[in-house]
Amino acid sequence: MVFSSFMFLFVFLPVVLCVYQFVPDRYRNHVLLASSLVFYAWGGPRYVLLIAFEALVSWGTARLIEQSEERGTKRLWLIVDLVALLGLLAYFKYWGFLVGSIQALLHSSADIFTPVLPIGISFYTFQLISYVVDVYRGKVHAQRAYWKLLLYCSLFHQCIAGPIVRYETVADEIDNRRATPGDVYAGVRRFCVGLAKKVVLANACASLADTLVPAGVGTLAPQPLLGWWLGMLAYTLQIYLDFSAYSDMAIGLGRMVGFHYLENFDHPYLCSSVQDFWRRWHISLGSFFRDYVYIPLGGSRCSTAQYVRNMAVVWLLTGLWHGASWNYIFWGAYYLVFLLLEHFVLTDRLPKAAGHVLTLIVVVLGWVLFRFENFGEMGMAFLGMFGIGATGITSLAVRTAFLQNIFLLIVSVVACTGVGSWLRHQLAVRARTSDVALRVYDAEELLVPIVLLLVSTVALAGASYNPFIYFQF
Amino acid sequence: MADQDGTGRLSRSDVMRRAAAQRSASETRQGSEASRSAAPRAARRSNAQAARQPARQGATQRNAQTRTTRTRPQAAGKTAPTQDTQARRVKEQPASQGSKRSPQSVSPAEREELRRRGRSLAKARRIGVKGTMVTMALLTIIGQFFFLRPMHSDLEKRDLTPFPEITATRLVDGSFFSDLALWYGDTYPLREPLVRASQALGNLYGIQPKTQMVGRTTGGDELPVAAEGEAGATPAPVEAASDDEVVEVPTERYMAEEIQNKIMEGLYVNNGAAYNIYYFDQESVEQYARAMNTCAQNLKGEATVYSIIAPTSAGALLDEKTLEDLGGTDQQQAIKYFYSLYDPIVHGVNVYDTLRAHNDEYIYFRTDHHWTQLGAYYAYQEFCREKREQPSNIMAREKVTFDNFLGTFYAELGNADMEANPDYVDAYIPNSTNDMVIWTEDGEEVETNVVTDVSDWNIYSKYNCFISGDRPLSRIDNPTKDDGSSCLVIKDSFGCAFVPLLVDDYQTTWVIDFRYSDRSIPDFVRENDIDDVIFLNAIVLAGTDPVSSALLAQSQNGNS
Repeated sequence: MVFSSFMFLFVFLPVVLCVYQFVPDRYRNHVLLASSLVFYAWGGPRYVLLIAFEALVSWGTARLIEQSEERGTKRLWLIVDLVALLGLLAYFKYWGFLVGSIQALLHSSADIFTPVLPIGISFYTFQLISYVVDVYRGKVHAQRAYWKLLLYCSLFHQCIAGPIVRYETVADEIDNRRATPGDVYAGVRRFCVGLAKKVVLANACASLADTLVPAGVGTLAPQPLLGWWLGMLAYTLQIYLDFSAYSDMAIGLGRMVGFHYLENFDHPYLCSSVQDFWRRWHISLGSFFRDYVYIPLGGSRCSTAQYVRNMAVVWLLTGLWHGASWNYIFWGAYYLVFLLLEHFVLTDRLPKAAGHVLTLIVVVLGWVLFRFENFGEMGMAFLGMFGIGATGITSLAVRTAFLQNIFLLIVSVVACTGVGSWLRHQLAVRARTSDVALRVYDAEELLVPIVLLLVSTVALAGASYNPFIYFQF
Repeated sequence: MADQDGTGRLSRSDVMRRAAAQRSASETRQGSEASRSAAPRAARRSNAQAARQPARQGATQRNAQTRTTRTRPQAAGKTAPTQDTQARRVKEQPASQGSKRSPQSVSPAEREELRRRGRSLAKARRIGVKGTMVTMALLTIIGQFFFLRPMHSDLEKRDLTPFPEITATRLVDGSFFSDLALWYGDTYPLREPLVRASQALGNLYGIQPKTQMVGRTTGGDELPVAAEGEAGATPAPVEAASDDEVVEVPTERYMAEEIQNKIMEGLYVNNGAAYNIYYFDQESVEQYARAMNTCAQNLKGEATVYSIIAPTSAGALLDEKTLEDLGGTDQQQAIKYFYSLYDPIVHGVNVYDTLRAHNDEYIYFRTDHHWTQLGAYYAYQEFCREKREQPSNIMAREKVTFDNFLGTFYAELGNADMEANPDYVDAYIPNSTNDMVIWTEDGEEVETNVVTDVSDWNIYSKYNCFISGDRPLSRIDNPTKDDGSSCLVIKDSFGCAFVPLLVDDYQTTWVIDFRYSDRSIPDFVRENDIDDVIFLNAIVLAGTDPVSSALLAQSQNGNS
């Protein structure tokens, strides 16, 4: 089930919230666990066994790590857990890719079974790893109750699309949490904002991108230069709005019931350097690799060669995490090159404005690598963006696409900045002294979540609109 | 230090992490913090910030100072830091400071005023939460009115997703649940008005220019045509398929989707009329020609095979200059290329030039991808010329007009100019009979009319006045003839307007819509002693892979 569906919005969520509200406090976690398992089972009931098994292994090894005195034993259990979790991830996510790559090398085409990717495996595997490693490091206590650990990793707020919530963030809140009226409002509002971002903006940007730069169609039609750029701009907006919308909804859902997940995005397109971009983009993933890969390898406090190696490991893994295909690995390597360039050559020598513009260009071109798994398409798009093979500057089709989406593009660009929250803040400040501003502010606070929910419902219904030419009685 | 921050329940690492997170504060959080500073409550942010600063400075003497400030009343939800920290904080977070007054200067009256404002805000938010929850609950309850769920959408011309079948496998692999979610959304009771509202919402995304080019374009293959007269450049006919060749038959659904994509790719819109551009696809065209040749070879000496490729409205109506600017394939050349691949025993009927010559008449709809019956009539005249017979005159027939028709282009585009100026359908009733028989996909036999009165049908379905729409098999008997003449039309929906024109000329007119049929055409022709087999396809369909595959499979002799 996805958040942006009628089933979730108008059956699942209201039922869960209602039950949660009316059961005694001590059963609330049970309600959350049961609903999370139902939510997870929606995409394929058998994978509930997988997540339950991974949680069981992590629960057991973490307990054993905490109980054992010796460092060696602790280490052994940590390795057991890592092998089990990463092994399952490798099998389910990368087996097909690995076999396919080897077959391509050997020019073989035997049919080899590849498993279906279980939903959310990349997210909950990393959550459980962070938990066990943190227990190993003595940062958190091992969870005594298995079902509470399962609740942590399967919680439907963040289980299938992130953010990668650390156990330490919610350890205390699993048992002691309280949703103040302020939390509930912030949560409801955040959820509605995320929902609207997804269904009103991101989906429309996606359809624009699919029209101009369709992926997975074999061969792309030749395009004028501006067509490539408009298409990739739409994709750039789509991917941020879509992904951050899921994080918004997750954070909002958590906040409604008293969980405080950390922010996952910080206006990434306002970045001033590539490094800055990654500080703002998918923060929970970046910090995972930083804390569990990069720093254990020695971070930056080591020789230049080691530093380059550490960076290479982290960025190739980051690329690979996004998908089992070469283009994601290239995407990671692409960022590696720019980060090393910034570290060794540029070292803050660029003026801020230039840094901002150049970084954005790097990011947009990076999304070309990310979008096309097919290298023929990728190459064509890449060259097209530099005007090679492009059919002129613009065309009627590009002009139409631009005009038909001009307000969408403007609103989407604004949504990538902090202008909305800044305006709201200005209103809040004025409301302290002016009665008119207070009334406007009150109305805004009251109406925004309701209006966004209604508009999202409308947009969501529109998404199911699929005119079919052939009439059937 | 953890206890110093006054909340008592946050550990130091919690505070630091949260403070870090707050640097990246989201819309929601910033907003709610702003409100907290509006409300005279202790703000967690300022606490966290106060805790962060000594932590960052790492200087113990600062701690002492901070601690002294801690003891002051936190009336305005702010600590009063030492001057230099305050200066830094103002610089860091100018927006969050709101009022620059120190808390000591807040008088009881002012405090009461702030409290009042805080209460007003809290009330608005309470109502906001309640309103959202009530909205959600209402929409949930409406969702449970099963009897109100629509089954069919007139505008989209499709049956909505049915309730999924419950089987053990589908439960285990999860497809039942995903289909259930699909069904729930697709047949939601308020769907129709919601979809309409979403189209209005979609119009807010931008400006609708009078002249548009919309839809994905695939570019298409280069047409390997050489103009007539260039010796040696004319391609040889493609070889017919043997009966043993296994042709993969596409599923009905896949074919329908491909056809839809093909029709909707590259739409040129101008002043409330849409025109679909054709993009040539070498492989499909060859396959289509093979289907014609195979059928003709299999029926050699038994029946005559005619092929009519109808151009799209773009090819027939738009001026040369516009067509060239839009790209796409020249349809006149493409149709010639089709026919150049035919076996000489296949009669390719060129209808392009006559349609082009009449392009100032109402021969295609503006809001729909079909031709009008007048357009089909000009094609019929060419067919008769090829057959060397006198065409009947439709002007002598009884004409009925169905006003207000919004077709497939409108359904796809939702264009306001089209809505303001809809099409109309002129239908000419055959002189000999208006009765016909159709067989549905379930094999049921139904008596109906060649031209049905659709005046009270919905605005999207008027083209269905002709021969009851697309059917696997239909038959029309002409009571005024008894010469045993008969024809079979293998058609897509362009054939619907065409078939009624033949009715007066044959004793029996058979119609097969190949998309809903899988019978062998040669077998059927032999069984029913048919004289003329007429393949009629729009060029965009004829040049689509699943169409040509299906036709090739049906052109083979049956196994029976």
